[in-house]
Amino acid sequence: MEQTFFGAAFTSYSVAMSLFFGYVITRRESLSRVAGYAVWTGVITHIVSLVLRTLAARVVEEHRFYVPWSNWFESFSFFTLVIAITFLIIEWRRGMPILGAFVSPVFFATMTTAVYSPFGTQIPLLAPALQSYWMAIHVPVMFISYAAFALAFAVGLAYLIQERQLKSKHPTSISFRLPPLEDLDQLIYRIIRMAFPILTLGVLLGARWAYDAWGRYWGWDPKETWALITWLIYLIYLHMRLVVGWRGRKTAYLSLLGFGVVLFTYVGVNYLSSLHGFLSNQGR
Amino acid sequence: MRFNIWLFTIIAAASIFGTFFPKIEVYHSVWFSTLLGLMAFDVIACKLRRGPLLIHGVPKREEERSVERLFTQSRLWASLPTRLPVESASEAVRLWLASLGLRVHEEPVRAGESGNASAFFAARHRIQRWGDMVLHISIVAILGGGLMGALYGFDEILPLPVGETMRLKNRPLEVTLEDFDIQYYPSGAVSRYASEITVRSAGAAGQAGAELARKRIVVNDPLDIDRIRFYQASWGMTPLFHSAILRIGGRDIAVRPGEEVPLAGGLSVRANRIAPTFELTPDGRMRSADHEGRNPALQIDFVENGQVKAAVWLMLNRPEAYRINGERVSTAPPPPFLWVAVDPILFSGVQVGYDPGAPLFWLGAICLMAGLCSHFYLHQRRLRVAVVATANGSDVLIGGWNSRTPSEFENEFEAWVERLRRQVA
Amino acid sequence: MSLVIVGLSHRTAPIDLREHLAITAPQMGEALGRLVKVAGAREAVLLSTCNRTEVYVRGDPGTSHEASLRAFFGDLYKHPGLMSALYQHEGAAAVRHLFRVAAGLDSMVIGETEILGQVKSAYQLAHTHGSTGKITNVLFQRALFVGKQVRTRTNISEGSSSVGSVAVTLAERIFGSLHNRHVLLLGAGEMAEVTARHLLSQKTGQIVILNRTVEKAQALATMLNGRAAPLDALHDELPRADVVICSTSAESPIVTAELVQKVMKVRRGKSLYFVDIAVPRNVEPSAHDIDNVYLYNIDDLQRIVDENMARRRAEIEDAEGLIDGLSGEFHQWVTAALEGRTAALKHGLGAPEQGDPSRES
Repeated sequence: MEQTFFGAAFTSYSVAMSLFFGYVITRRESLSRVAGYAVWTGVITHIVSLVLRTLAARVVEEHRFYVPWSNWFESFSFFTLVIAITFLIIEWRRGMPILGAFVSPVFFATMTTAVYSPFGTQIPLLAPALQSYWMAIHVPVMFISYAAFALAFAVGLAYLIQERQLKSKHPTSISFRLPPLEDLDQLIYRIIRMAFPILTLGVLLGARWAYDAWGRYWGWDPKETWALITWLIYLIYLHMRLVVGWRGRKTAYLSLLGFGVVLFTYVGVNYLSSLHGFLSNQGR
Repeated sequence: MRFNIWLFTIIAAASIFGTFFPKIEVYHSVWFSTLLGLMAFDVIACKLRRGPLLIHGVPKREEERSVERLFTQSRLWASLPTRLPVESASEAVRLWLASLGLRVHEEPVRAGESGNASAFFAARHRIQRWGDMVLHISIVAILGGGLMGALYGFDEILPLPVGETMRLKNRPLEVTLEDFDIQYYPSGAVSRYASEITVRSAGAAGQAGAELARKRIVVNDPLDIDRIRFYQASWGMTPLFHSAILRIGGRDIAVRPGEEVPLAGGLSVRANRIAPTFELTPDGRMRSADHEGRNPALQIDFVENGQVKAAVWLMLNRPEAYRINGERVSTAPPPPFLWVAVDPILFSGVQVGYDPGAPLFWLGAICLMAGLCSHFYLHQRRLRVAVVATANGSDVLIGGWNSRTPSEFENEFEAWVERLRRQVA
Repeated sequence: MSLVIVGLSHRTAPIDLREHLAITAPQMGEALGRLVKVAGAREAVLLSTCNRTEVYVRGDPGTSHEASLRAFFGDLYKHPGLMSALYQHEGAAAVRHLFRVAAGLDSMVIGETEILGQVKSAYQLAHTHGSTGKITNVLFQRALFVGKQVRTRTNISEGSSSVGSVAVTLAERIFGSLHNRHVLLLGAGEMAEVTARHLLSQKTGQIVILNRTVEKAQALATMLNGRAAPLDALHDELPRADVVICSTSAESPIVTAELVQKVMKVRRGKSLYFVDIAVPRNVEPSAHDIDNVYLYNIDDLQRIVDENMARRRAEIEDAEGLIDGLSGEFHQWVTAALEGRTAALKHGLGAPEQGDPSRES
């Protein structure tokens, strides 16, 4: 039952991506609208699948704190959901249909990463450290900020493409399908401005959890350290933008770099740390 | 200002370096701590230079309280000529500002050479201007908390076997492990482990002190006594065990540590201790990598007439053994001997930590969040309105300022002005 | 079918000939009346723009109206070259001609959209004066439909066609809405004025004009509702501007790359767009390499116009094909209608509608 809904979600996200690409090529507005509906469908079926999964898992005492983002598969699946929801919110507030063409590959990629999990897709056996209500608080907050940074990355890409078009003095029809430069730049800034306090909150909640679990609120564990590095990168972005006055190209690059750091904090670090990472229970 | 950005970059780079080379001490080194200290100092220095915050947005200096100087900072501007006399226009402005829900302050200002005009200073989300200061100061608090903890805090690990008591080095306290409970999933992975501990003040030699607390601690749920916290950090196998079962010559023999059990032909076997995670180093020495019990090995001696004939490390449930010198011996039939079961003595890793900087850290954390949310999520908008008498009535001059980019205020400003226009035009 | 077109256009006649044959709206009623009487037309529409004057007439079948229509033109203006400048089309060719005109394929600037409005006005005027009838009603409405179809289904109207509109389009690519963007004019010449007017149609914010002779700047400022200042105010005004139009006659660049660097610092990196239409150039070309600075000179803009035009021309084949199909279909419909049968006219992508001559008016 849960798998049916998950499959429906995956299909919806894939359909949305194809439709967004189709919109870029044919410029038919109807395609982007339908793509939006496809994302909505994906989000709803995805939420249902997560609820079903939680209900199925919480029959065992060890799973009384279980939330459906407790191993590799679940984590990427949940991350996809958060990206999709964040995308829908930004679409609703800013209305940039072409954005879908940049963001849908991202959530398609995360969904695929979930499905091809090297650790399987079953409900995991929770290690003692993960048996805490903090799992339901710290992780979603971090993911919301990560998803926003993923969007800032997508918009940054769009910015760089548009900038290249205009600097080359040979703007093609691509330039017309992409939003104007300043709009993109402003959007990146607004996304990061919104996400930075959330990232800070997530890191501080993680510290609070660590205080109860590991005896200290900050131990320079690789994951903690890389979360700090992510925080510093976006701190640099904000100072650059607000204080020094960098705009445009350089800050677009920063938004790309920032997301790279986010990815490393999310995935790469697990290969460095045995305490914090998925490898600490072999992801099972 | 660029200095800050360089500082952040260097701290980030140093942190990255530390994660790739965990063997090199980075985060507690002097130079890294200096960098953090520099950041704290830098924050204070930058924020001290900030100008005084205007009360109600009214200019402090007398010269600036004139209509000509009132709107120099305004990014948005509108002017509404009206036939209404100054008093009526001012009343309309009052009502208008009230209807917008702004906090208003009135003050007369000079208009032209000798005239006076009424001026209104209105704002929304004024509290946002504190956000910047608060969030920066809270960084200092956070770093300060960290420093306090590093200087005056302590951290100890007590590997307590069940029933044992250990005394803390940093405080006159004793911890006794009354009971240890561990449960497994069917797959063999640990599902839960918990320790029943008692904390007593250290008594004189041989005497037990007063009991201070008793709690069953689990990962994620420590015991807190006056901010000294007792955590369930880890668990493991000690080298000790209650009993083990060996299968020799087809027979199951129960052994206790150090006990010689006779076998056939004058030979007896003695089991001494356990290596919880047995491994051979590259140069052939044996050791236990950790206490987790991932590869238990039992050290047994075969004794004849009081002399040790053979000493081996025997793997649990595997026909595999190693001589003391590291040479591998097979224990598959014949002759077969196998270690089949053990009742180990486990220890609970109770971590005791004290961080006097923690309250400062948490205070800083809360202030940081409050400051960030205020600074980034609130939108300070200010209006300066002057009503000046003219030949036909009066002019209402409106200047707008906001803390974000002007384009984010434009639409609202125009809508507000439009509202007033309908009242006075 | 007895549909006849006689007329002249920019393709066949020079401007001085065409301007004598232009018919304004107030004159239309009288002209149409004359047309109907002189040519014995049952239905008539007159299309007169600065680039063409054409007469669309439905006459009696079997009668040739060509001579009387040519005479009509001769009455308007006597000129020896007139007759050779007139062309005519009949029947299916006439339908095709109108469709091509409406689609902008016969315009000076391929795919231009103004002609569509002009065809519509011509038709509406004729309708008001009662000179249209069943065939012309359907024909012209169909022509407007075809004009729109060709523009949506091909890229015939894509891309700006003048340097001024290209400049504005680029500004919009950079800044999005030009609402409240500050415009700075260096130099107060005609080119500057034209480009500025293009921008102003987008409701830009403040416009400031700098010129060596302040009076000229002031004159232009008054016309454009802006502010004037002497040229040495450049250092103060440049940081405040988003769009800078340069057209001074300075012999070497007055805006150096170094100045732009400094200005960008003051602007905190906000995008800066230069339209340098001066020859020799007013802005050092290396300024384009600075981050967030976009410097387009007249050659760049002209090249984009040329590229756009080339792209439009590449669309001509598709457009002609579309028109062939649609005009053929229309001709069949008209023939059937005149013979008393009903036929179908496709409307958009849907199923064909049963056409009825009276219904579409």
